[in-house]
Amino acid sequence: MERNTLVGADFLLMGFIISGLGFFLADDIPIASFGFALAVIGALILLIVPEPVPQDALKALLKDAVRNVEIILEESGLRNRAYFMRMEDGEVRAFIPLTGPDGKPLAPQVAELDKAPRRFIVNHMGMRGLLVIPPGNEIVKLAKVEKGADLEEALRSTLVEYSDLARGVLAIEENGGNIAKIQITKPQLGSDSPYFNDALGTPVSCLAGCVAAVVKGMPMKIVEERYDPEFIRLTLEGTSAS
Amino acid sequence: MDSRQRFVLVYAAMAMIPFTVFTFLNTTDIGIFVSAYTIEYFALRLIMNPKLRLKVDVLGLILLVLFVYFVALRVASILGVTYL
Repeated sequence: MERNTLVGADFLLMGFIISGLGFFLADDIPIASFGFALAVIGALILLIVPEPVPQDALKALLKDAVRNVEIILEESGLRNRAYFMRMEDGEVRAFIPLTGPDGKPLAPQVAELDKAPRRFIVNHMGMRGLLVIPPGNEIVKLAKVEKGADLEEALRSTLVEYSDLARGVLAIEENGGNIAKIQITKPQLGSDSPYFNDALGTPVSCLAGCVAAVVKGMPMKIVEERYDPEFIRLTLEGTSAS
Repeated sequence: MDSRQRFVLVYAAMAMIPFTVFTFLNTTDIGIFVSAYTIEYFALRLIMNPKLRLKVDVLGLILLVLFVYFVALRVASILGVTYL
């Protein structure tokens, strides 16, 4: 049994006993109400607090994932903005395009990428680049983010409630939902990996990109990011085929 | 400490305020205590918005039922109805 479940059950039981004894035996309302408060707190612990993953362990794992991608990007010399996309099986991938003589990839090409063979090096419909697993793909799955959900609610549920990587999120959508402007308050994880930051954004923004890609169901790109230890201001742009 | 743990801590601290105040005021109606705990619970939930493990807020429902019961008792006593 989880530790929190035990503590919650203890509080609940003790609360009921104190409350019962106070009300029926001692006929003392303050003691009964104190027991009731204890029982409510116990029920809260049972209902709300899950067994926590140590926050430092989560951050360390994410940092390692960021460093791995950083090494690949540094070796490849890639700093172009990545497209976060939800693949057909629900996984999130980040496509970092190569800047070649063909210039920027076109919207229909990017929109078709979810059907491309899932290889590390992509050469599909004239588009070349790297397809990596962004740190945050698994968190998005575990937080049960679904396509078509409310963006702000999905971001808050993932960044604040599930992973506790930020204290608050505000999001507004423009241009029929194609552009999302997001403000993330007090990000708990920064990054000193310049290639990663340029391509996928800082780790918390990268996670926000993953969430947006799943919610919108289309490739999303970070077009602007302003990082400050107190907040992140982020603009994401969707790429639809039409 | 994550947002859910903070919520429990803040609620535990806030629950002690009406307990202390009403005890000093020699309140003998348990309905007043329960109503205060209920209002605090819903107000804090609205402000801090913690994610629950269950889809249905069982605790909120129980507190609401108790709150309605005690309010009904008080209304009945004001109206002079004694069978509640």
